[in-house]
Amino acid sequence: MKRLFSSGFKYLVLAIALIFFVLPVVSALEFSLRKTGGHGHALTNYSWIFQQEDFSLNLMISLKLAALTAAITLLTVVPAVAYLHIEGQRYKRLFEFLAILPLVVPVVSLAIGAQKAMPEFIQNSQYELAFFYVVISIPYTFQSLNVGLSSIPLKTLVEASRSLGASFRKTITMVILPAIRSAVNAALFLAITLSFGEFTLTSLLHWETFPVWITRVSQGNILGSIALSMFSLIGAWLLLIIVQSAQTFKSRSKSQPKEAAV
Amino acid sequence: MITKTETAVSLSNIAKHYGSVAALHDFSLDIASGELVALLGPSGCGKTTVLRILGGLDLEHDGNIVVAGTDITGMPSDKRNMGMVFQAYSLFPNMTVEENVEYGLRVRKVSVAERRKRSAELLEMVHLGHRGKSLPHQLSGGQQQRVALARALAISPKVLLLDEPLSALDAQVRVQIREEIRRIQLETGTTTLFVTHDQEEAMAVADRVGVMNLGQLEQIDSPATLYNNPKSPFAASFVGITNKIPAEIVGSGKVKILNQVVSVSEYAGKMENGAKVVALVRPENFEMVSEDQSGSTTGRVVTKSFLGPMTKLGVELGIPSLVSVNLTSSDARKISIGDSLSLVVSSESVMVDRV
Amino acid sequence: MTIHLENAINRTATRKGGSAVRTLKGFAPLLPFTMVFSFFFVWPIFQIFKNSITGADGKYGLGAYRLLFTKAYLHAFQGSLRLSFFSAITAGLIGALIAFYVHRSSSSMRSIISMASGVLANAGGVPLAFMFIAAFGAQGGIILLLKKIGIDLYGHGFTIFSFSGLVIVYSFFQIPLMILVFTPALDGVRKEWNEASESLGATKTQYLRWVLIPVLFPAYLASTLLLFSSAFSAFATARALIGGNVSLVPLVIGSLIDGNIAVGAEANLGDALAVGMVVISAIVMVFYGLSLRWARKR
Repeated sequence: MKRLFSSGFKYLVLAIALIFFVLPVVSALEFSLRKTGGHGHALTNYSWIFQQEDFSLNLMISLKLAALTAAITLLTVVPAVAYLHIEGQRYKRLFEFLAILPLVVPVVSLAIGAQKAMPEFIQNSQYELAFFYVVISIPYTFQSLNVGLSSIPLKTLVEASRSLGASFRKTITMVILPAIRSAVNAALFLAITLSFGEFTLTSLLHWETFPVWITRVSQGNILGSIALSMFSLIGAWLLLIIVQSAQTFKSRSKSQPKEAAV
Repeated sequence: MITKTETAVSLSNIAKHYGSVAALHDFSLDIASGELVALLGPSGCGKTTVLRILGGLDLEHDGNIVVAGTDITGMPSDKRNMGMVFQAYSLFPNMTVEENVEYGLRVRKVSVAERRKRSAELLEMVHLGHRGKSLPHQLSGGQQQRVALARALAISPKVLLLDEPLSALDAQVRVQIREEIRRIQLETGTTTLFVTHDQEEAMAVADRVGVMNLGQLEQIDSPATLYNNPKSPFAASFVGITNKIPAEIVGSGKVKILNQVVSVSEYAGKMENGAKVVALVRPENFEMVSEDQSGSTTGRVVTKSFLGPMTKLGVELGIPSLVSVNLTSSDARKISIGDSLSLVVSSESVMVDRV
Repeated sequence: MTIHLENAINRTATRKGGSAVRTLKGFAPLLPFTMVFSFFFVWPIFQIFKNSITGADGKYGLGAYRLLFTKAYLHAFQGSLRLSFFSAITAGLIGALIAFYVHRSSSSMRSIISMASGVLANAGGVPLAFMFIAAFGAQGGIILLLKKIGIDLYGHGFTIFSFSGLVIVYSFFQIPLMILVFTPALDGVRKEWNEASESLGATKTQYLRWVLIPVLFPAYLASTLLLFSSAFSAFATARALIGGNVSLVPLVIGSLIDGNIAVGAEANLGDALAVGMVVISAIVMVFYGLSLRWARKR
């Protein structure tokens, strides 16, 4: 296997990939540091970001929506998937199919439907967005929980817990949820990432959240818009890296006693 | 028998290092033409390394390999013409059973008609003539391994290499397939190296069994010789001598074990008088006697498990560990847990090891 | 006496409630999900289907679809399909190649790449478009740098605000996405297959042609279809980067929503376009499902 292709070719491929992914970032960073009109570099464009009055306002709106999205996911998707695994096996295929559908329907299509079909009182509340974010993220959250629940000996755990006298609700909260905690965390994380970056539906429904605001405020100031883009991209990446490495670290420290036992 | 036939495979002074760790040192083995040699040992003993080196999957090693009079050291795997059967999942999942068996012939540009004929023959031989059009995932584990065997034999290999081919199977299927492997191996007369960690399996199929430990061959003999005369404590423990009883050397070639004096088997007999040793005694080498018989030791039965024709007892004899004793089930019928039981060692000689 | 009575009442109450209550109670954990899903997904989608076959007079009519099959809108569908096809093929090939090499690297290299893929596959939207404008725009660092060494891309007619520009930008998140979804298939490749093939006398090329490529093809196809679908419905990046330069269905729908030109047959044109997207996307997903099932048999 090792000698299937020469390693020279391999490094060439990886090097080109590295250039493709790093160069635009570096180049855009350089661009965002240029001074207006003249030559030279400075942090002016970044300080411009924080001078915008709506910066913190829109950041707060997005954070609020993300928290709400996570909460709704926790209250709707988590109990549903748990139930489908424990008692509702006969509905499982149906719901698995339903959960794929938001992936089939492009968000633009959902947006046009949402714009026309929603009753007035919902259209007037910004919090409608959180419900749509939940729906759009269902294919990912549902799948993540599904995999998590399939990976534990669920039936045995439920039977053991019940034979020891625990009620169904106690079984879920004390046994099942802790056992799939990492899958639940991953699902909530997916919902939050999606809600925080969602642009299509939000802008088409004429709401302003952080990503929509970025586009609007950028219109008069190209350098500022680049700085703002780099700020939000790199901010999101750092967040993702932190969460991912926390997960990797956790799973590593979890698997260690297992290895020792073997 | 072995001396009469010519040598098919000759491994001499094979050594293999992973960094500073030696996986094999100075390993030599000759396999006669048509012989089945099993390499037996715990995981990490180097047995699989031997197989992979012989198969050409591992070319970085010291020493020489001669097959049928030709030195093939350094020759890549695809030129060696050796059939291999792996633990599991080695069938190509995109091909039917038939196509899997034909693979080696297709590589050799054998005509389609001839390929079909040969694969049909081989599948018949492994009793899967009717499953030629199936895909691997439609077969049971045992059937998959039989197809893998047919595939390896299709190229009429100089040597057949079996790398723990039964370890992923259920106990019953395992026995069935190992018998089939032996039948087919004898039928085709293929020189075979069989690697396993299962003592019973090795004894059941092999002409000779080699016991390996820490990268070295401890002993290689016919199953009967190995069973009756293990040459080292390690080999002894691997062929079912599990009781280690504290003992003392009394006079030359004699050992006092419990209340009894027996001979020391010759291999480990060079110990001075009064030396503290452990005696290695097989569970079936105890005999139940009456309490007043001289040399007997009386203890209490602590565990009892019925194993069909035999019953295994755990007996407390005043030494740190329980002594395990196999009695015929008819003898053991009247014994219950808590009873006292008098025993003597029934074999004339025992093996001893330093403490 | 009172206790007895209470028990009796309770018993009858439970009996009366009977199985209906129990079924409802049993279904309770599915209820919140079903409600949110129906109201915020099924209902709006149902509405676009209904609107798309409603004429200007509010009665049944296929006017919107008739409009959809005119040159301008067919052109948008063609553009969307072409873009999805090219970006999926490009990113699919490059991503698979990288995944293949990464798969056989050291484990630390693997975890770095898989983390980077997880992070980059989430890039997208408007900021990504701006990043590429900064890097590949007429005044972008890369373009200026290339100009200095004598390669004048813009002089040769290249612009990032174009179809090929969009393919490049999409690759930035699609290649990592491909690495993410294709790596599990590579993990399923057993080293025994290569060793068995080698011991049976096959060359590397024969192994590649007869075993490795056929084994991986279904998963490769499934992954590529997933990329196709993601490119097909992408909106934000395309809108920020090319605006109206390239005609794409999502952009047309977007401008219809924004423009509010609710007159005549065009009132429901957006719905018809949306249905068209759903139909194409559904076809792609059906093929995705089929190739996934095919891959599972491997």
